[in-house]
Amino acid sequence: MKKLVAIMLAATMLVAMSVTAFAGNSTGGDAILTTSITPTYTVTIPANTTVAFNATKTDFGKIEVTASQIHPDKCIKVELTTDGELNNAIDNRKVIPYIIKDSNDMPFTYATYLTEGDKTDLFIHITTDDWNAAYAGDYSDTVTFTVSYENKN
Amino acid sequence: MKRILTMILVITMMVAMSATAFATGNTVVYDKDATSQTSGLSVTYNVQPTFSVTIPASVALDNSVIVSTSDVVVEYGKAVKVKLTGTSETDNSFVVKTDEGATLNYAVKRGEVPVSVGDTILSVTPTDTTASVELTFVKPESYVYAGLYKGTVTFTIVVE
Amino acid sequence: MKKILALIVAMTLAGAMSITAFATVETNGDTKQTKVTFNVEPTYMVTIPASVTLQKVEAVNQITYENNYVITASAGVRLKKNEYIEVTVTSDYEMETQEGATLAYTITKDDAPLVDSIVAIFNTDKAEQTSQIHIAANDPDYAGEYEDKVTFTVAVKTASSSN
Repeated sequence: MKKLVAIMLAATMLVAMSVTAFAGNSTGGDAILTTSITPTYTVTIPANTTVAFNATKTDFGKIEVTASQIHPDKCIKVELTTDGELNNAIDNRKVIPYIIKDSNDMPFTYATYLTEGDKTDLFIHITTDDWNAAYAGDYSDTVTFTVSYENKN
Repeated sequence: MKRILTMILVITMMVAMSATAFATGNTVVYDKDATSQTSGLSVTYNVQPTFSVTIPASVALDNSVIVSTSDVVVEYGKAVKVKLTGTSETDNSFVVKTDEGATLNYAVKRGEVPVSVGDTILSVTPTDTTASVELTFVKPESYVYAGLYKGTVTFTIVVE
Repeated sequence: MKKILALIVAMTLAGAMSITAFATVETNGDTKQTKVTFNVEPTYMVTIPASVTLQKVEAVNQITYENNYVITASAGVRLKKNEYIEVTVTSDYEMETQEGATLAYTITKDDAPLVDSIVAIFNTDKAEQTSQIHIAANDPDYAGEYEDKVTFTVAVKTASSSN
């Protein structure tokens, strides 16, 4: 009798045990899209310029941003450094003073730019009195434009 | 007390189990002049065939089931036979199907011997000691679709 | 008495624990059916990459930022007949920097816009399956670290007609 009961129990258990396959996850998920744009900009600055004798205002070209892809909270700063004096080629103690001004006749020291196309026209101003006081000879000077990437104010 | 009780139980069981017996006899009148006399008495004992066959109601593939008989009482020379006579398929193939229409073929085996539709899987006489058979429903080696596959097999019991 | 009692209890227990009903046949010529079943569970594994970075692509007079994104279903996708896996994407299609600069992007598949936001369809198959989409953006006005989060949803669908 025991044997019969044992078989019945075994048969019952076999039927109850089903094989379960694993269904992998897949309800979905998030993905992060990224891209990194490095800031780039191109600034053109005035080239060498010859000032005609007795010219009180000479076109000095322009500072212009010709390409720009910068952070929205940044700007391009161009700063002009000059001693404001043309020096005589033979005797550099002999000078002709000048001022670089913008198109509004404001002396130019620096400006900030944001986007392509932003520019500042520059002019070299020498007064008539300074021309009259000048010694003969060739005069020249070097101005420095410093371009930097700054936070907006 | 116990012994009497036991006897009563035994007698009761015997009576309950007894088949109907009939006895018919003649009245004999003794003739003093006869050298010998005989009288016939006809005795009959009619036993109705009985048997019980247990068929599993369900089975999952990759499992085995037991088909068994018990209390087999049939005519001499006959046996209770269990035959696998059909399946749920019109062509009687061993196929299970899902509601979506996917199909799988399976096999039925008795030990290592394949069973076909029409085979007798169990044959038991009153004197047989083996009264059961184990059938294995073999799943296919591979399957394409998921789902709950269903089908049926039909057993027919005959005395022959 | 004890022995008989014990036997009865054992048989009752066996009877109570069985979940399979047995049909008893006692009539010559009678038939009984046995239900045959086999349950195969669906299985699939879809891999969605956690991130993708668009790379600069320089062409004549044009700069774009692009990349491919591949969604994979591992070998052995098994679904019910007529079922398939559909992966869709939810997005505002705009990346943004912390400073607030925005950059619109597109997602295409096979050089065409997505249909119903579907980025992948996978069927029952023993082999691995992949689906590639393409993400692209124009050169933005502003520099910066652009980022966006998209959500992929995986669902099992049933085809409208069986084959």
